[in-house]
Amino acid sequence: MTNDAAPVIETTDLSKRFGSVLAVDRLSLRVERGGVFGLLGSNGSGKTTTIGMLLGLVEPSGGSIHLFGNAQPGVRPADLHRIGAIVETPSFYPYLSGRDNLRYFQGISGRSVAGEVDRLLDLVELAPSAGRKFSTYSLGMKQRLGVAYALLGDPDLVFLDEPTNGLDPAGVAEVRELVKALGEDGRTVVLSSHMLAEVEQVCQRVAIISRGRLLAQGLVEDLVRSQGVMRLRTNDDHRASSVLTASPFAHDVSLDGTGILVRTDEEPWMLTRLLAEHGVYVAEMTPVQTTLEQYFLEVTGESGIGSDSTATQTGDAA
Amino acid sequence: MNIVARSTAWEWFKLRRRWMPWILLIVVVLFSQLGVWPAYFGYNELGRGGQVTMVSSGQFGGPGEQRPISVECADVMAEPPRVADLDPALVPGLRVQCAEVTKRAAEQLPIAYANFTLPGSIGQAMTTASALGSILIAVLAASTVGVEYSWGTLRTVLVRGTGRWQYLAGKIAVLLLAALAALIVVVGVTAVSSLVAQSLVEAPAGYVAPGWGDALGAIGRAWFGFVPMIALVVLLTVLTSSTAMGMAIGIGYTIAEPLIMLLVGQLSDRVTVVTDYLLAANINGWTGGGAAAFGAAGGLSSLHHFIVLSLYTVVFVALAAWLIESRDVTKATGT
Repeated sequence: MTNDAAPVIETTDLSKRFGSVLAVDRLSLRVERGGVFGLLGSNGSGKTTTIGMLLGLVEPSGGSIHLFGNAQPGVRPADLHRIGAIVETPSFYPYLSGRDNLRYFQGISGRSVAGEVDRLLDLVELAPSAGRKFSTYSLGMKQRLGVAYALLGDPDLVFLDEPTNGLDPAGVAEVRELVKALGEDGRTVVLSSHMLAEVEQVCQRVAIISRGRLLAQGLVEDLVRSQGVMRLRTNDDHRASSVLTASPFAHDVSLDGTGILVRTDEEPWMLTRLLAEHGVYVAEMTPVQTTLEQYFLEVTGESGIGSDSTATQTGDAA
Repeated sequence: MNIVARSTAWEWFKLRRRWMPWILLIVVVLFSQLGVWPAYFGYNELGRGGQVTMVSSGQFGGPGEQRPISVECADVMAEPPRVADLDPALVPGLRVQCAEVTKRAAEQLPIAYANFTLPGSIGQAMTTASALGSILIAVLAASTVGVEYSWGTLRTVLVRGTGRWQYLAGKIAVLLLAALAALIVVVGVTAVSSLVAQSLVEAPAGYVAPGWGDALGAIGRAWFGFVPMIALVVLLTVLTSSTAMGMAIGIGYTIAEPLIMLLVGQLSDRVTVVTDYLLAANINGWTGGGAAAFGAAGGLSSLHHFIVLSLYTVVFVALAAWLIESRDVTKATGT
């Protein structure tokens, strides 16, 4: 029995131990139906193991998984019929053509839809190369075939693990648009990536995993704003700085030559009222927008998420 | 469609697009003809009446020198003998020998004729095909299962919701079908060969062709001989997640078992009781029709071999299914 209002994925204290290594540690994830959900973490953080457990490939050591609001925990073949996934580098049969690979995977799942293979090959722009053997494909072509494979059977839930690996910039942009479109047509896409700029552009919600543990999850805009850093320009920045430093609801106050940076958990008007009460008037007050990468680095305490990270740095970084 | 049937159908789709099964088929077909054409040439030799050899002092040599002489019986029996420089005193003795050889040849001619003509040639071809075929089917079984691990495609398949044991069952079913198809091709080629050979010679007088039932029995016997081998190699490949290991251990075991038992047998007679229940011994016994072939569990009935091999098959398949069901499926192993 399923509940359409329930999260499409809900894990409770999900754990996986490989010998002495705890790969996933009491992970409680909640992925709502529809949209693109980002699963972020550096290499070895437990993303792929988590996806493996959600796909029934890896047996959890503890905790539970509920898919599609099922009352009973676990991953059943019927659940997998509603899921499409590429995990890490797509693996296909090298001696079969791209088209025959898709035909095979469509056929073995018993979800054949007339014309679907050609439509998907068109979608990922592999139609001209569909008759070539998979072994002759470039990495980018393999990735595109992987995306087509994940969409076989019109799944409700799609896992895409690093889908833009090996793609040229144009290919990355195309896949990004495709992922966005998939999330907008009612299905749920779980995008696992360490390309944080990419994730920030296409995901509405993210979960950040490090060393197998969930560090944060929620709406992207909430996470990047949650730091509450504001930039102020006043008629007397030095006095404003003193007033704010003495205030219980203003933190990390600093002067950077162009104004004051301050972090607060309260509503911004409380800062302006406080300053006004001390005779300081605010000329300008803007929230400092951080990037997802900055947020990621802060919560994980890591120096970088991956060597090929292309997250852009904003000039007004806090 | 049933999941196992669907898995089998799509495994067949993949299998026939690979080079390997076709190459193995060509090898087994060519090898199987060793059961036909040598029999044909042997029959012709017998038809010529054979040769006799005797040691004669001085004949064809210097005084006091002894050396063997071989002469064609047809030449000896001719009147006068068509052997140059033959000591006339030797002719009666040679003729007695030739008469014996000719009598024996006359008895063997129908058997030799049956070996390369239909339907007897089918049995010959099945015997030779099953000897090499068990190694070739082991290669195919290890490759069919092992590449899913080495290429990482097992994960890609299972994500589609194909049940694990059902997928393995499909693999085994397609291997059994491939083995049967190969034997059918061998039968077809053998039939053509036999008809060609049959058209080149006369049947011996009073020849009565054996029944087709024996030929069908030989096909069934050869095919079932492959079944425990497939099960063993599938189990080993799943266990090691490796084509190379599955192939090497499976083939290595079937070769090593008779050799080891032969050596151990020298130490104790009791070991023969163990041999009666060993895998390779029973495969050899089964494919040899219960005959005491090298390494076979000799003197046992076909029913014994059938039961023992069936039990091995069930155990191997059950273990392989349990392993694939219970293990995590991670990235490509590359071996």
